[in-house]
Amino acid sequence: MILLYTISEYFNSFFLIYALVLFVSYVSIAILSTFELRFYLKKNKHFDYRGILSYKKLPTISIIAPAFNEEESIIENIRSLLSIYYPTIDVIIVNDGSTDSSLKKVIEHYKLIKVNMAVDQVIKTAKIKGIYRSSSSAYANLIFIDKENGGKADALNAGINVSRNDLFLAVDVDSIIEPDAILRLVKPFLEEEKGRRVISSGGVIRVANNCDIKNGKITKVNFPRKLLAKFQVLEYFRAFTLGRMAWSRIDGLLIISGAFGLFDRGIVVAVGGYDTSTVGEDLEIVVRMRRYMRDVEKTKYKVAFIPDPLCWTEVPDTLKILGRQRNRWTRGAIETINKHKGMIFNPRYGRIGLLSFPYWVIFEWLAPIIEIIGLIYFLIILIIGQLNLQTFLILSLFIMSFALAFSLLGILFEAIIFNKYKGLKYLFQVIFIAVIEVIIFHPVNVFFALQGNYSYFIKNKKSWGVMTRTAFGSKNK
Amino acid sequence: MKAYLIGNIRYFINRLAFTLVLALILFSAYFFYMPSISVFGYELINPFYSYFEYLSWWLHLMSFITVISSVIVIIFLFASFYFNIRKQRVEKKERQYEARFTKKMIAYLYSDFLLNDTKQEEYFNFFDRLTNSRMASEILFKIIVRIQKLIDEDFRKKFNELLDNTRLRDRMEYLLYSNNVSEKIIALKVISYLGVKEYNDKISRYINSKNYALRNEAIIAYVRLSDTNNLDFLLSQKYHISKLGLNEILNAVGSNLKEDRLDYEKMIQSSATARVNVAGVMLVKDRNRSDYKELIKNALKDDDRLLREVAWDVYATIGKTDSDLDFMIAKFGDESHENKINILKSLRDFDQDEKLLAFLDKIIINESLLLKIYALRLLFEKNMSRLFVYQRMGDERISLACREVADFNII
Repeated sequence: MILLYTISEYFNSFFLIYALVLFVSYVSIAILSTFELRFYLKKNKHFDYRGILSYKKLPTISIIAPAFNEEESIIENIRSLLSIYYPTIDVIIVNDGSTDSSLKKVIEHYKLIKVNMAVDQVIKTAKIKGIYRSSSSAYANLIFIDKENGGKADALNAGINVSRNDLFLAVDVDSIIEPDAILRLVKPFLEEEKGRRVISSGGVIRVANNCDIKNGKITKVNFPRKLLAKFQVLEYFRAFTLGRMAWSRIDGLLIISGAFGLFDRGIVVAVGGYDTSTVGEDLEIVVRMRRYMRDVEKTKYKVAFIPDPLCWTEVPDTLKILGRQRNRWTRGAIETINKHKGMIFNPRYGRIGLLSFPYWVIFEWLAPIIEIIGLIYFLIILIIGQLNLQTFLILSLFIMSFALAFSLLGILFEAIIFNKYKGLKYLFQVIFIAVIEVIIFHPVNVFFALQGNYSYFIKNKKSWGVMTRTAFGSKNK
Repeated sequence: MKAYLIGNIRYFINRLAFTLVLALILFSAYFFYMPSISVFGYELINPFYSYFEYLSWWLHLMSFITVISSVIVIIFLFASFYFNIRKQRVEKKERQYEARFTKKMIAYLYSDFLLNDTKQEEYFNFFDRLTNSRMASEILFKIIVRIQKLIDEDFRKKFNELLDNTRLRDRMEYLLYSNNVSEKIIALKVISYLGVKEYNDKISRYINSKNYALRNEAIIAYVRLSDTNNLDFLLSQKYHISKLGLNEILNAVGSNLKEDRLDYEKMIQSSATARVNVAGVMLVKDRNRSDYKELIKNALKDDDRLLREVAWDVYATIGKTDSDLDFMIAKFGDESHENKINILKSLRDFDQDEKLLAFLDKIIINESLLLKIYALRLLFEKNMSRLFVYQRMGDERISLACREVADFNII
């Protein structure tokens, strides 16, 4: 009995400390993101982004968009990418062994011709079957690579090999990019804040489900109809506007989303390109680049993040697809942690080693595991009659109220700063979603994260899984 | 002075409000923990105390955070509704202001010959009446900057008349002395585009600001305001000049259309910061000053990567004599990949004599795939038959490069 009591005391102390540290980190995220947003808005309020087009010394950029079985929307998506403003840009679409008619459709629509392009395989990739360019001068900056299937990371690497530009923008081909997105993303590279070399910059991704889209552009932003997508709108508010802005403030950002990020091509090539053995290639590449800058280049650098919503993507709206995505995210995180475990609590890597990476391990990867252990512990003490009802109520109210306050901060920032979603109907809906999220979406997420751990450690699963999407173009014609 | 005072009072009130909120939270935490407290002789009883009296300290803390979170939830809820509605109204109003101001401003600027003093007064009254809010005056300033930037004609006199006859000059001053960076930035833009020189001292101080966005704007404003395009002030810059700053300086110098009295030598050879040298080198190209070729040649030896890169780009543009070609050929092997590309791009303007062909031959055989392609492109444009000779050489990489050059240039 004494042993049981001692164990219980240890558990209580552990959960209390864990919760307090988590609470402090969330409060810090709220404060830091507020400061960073405020600074960003003041700094850029009167900046003329179009003025960048007149600059004499600009980095050249390639947009690299891997595509796999995207026949429904690929024509519209390429058109959207071709409409992005920037003086020196090419659009590289990598057909990663699609089994549908994507290749045929693109060849016909964009009048593509197979060309001989000398490509240095600086990064090893699956075999390139052909490179195509358009015979129409209207699409002179379009390059289409047809290659054997090798996964998203491999497709990006093929695009990097073909690109001859200073920077590249990695995007999902089915994402809708705002026309001035590159001008906004390239600005941190030009600003070199505090004399630091920017190695990568990312922007906010928003949910495109149910939005009106015409000619590859968002014409009206609508709140999604399906419940799961609604939850993800709120989740993206928090993750991008609060989380990433806060980490960016202290230059501790570890991830630039795979759907939308601008990278220094030279650094990516120097670190060997995207890792094809992980499904979390977007997280892994940033960690490896940071490691390289610290170990090899030894110069001041920065991973930048900007809060403007620049990219719109379709999110999973069924449990099955959401499960696959979250399972993959968890496995990707574990793989990256495993590959770079030497960085954890390593003072050599500064705040990345001492803060960002440990945070990722303890509050991103381990959180669902600790949560489920907590739940089991709760059930045990409930069964043996050791649960104090008052304590339980206080803790539950604490979690609910704090989670709601944190979500509402994301909603408030959206209303004050971007205001992409308009109207009272949206506000009532999103607030309702914030209230029920803790009891519906959060447990679902925890379950999928646990599944991801199971897949990684028990089933040793490595593949991406299928992500089915609805074509934006066809839906809105 | 008045503007400076108002700006500081606003800043002080903001800070005070922030401190008061923080103090209130800390006070309520203490109040929440105690059964009652005495403030200036008044006894304040904690009504919740009986509920939490027997709780351990950490549950007490959690309860307090729950109460604070709940209050925050209510505030955020109302604020979200308020801003969602307000933002739509503001956006609509901004669009209306922009349309009205632009139309009226164009009329004011272009109907000069039609105006008599009374008519002019009407315009002044119009702008004075409608710019009573900060939002409206900022929109008008943005329009002024946009017009001055986009249209070649010099409207500075007209704009200054408008400022002098309305409250806009006070507004501009207020923004310049404000504690808000974005307000200072728009004021600097207006001042520099309108050539108002009386604030040069203030701008000089902003040039040394720790805030790089403000510093950058102040540098550009100073360049715009300089009659002689004298960039000597950059030599005393203690902060790094970013690539964005460099580009803006070049654009500002370029659009000034004033007498070129730049001290290129001082700039390029300055030891202040490498970026001043880069600016100097880029300005040589921008103003096509081939007489500074020797200075550029010296910059090619510098340790700074960007300076060397820019210097090669400039040298490759202005160096068009035979001796320049010899120099480029001699230095080619020691240069970085990017600089080699710059050199190859510039060779397009030289006649293809044996010396050049032998040089290209060496590149095609020994250099990287990309350099082979650049060299072969030159051959394709000047001597296509040689391209086919290389294609039949049997070297796989050379023939790959040949095929690309042929395909890309023919399709």
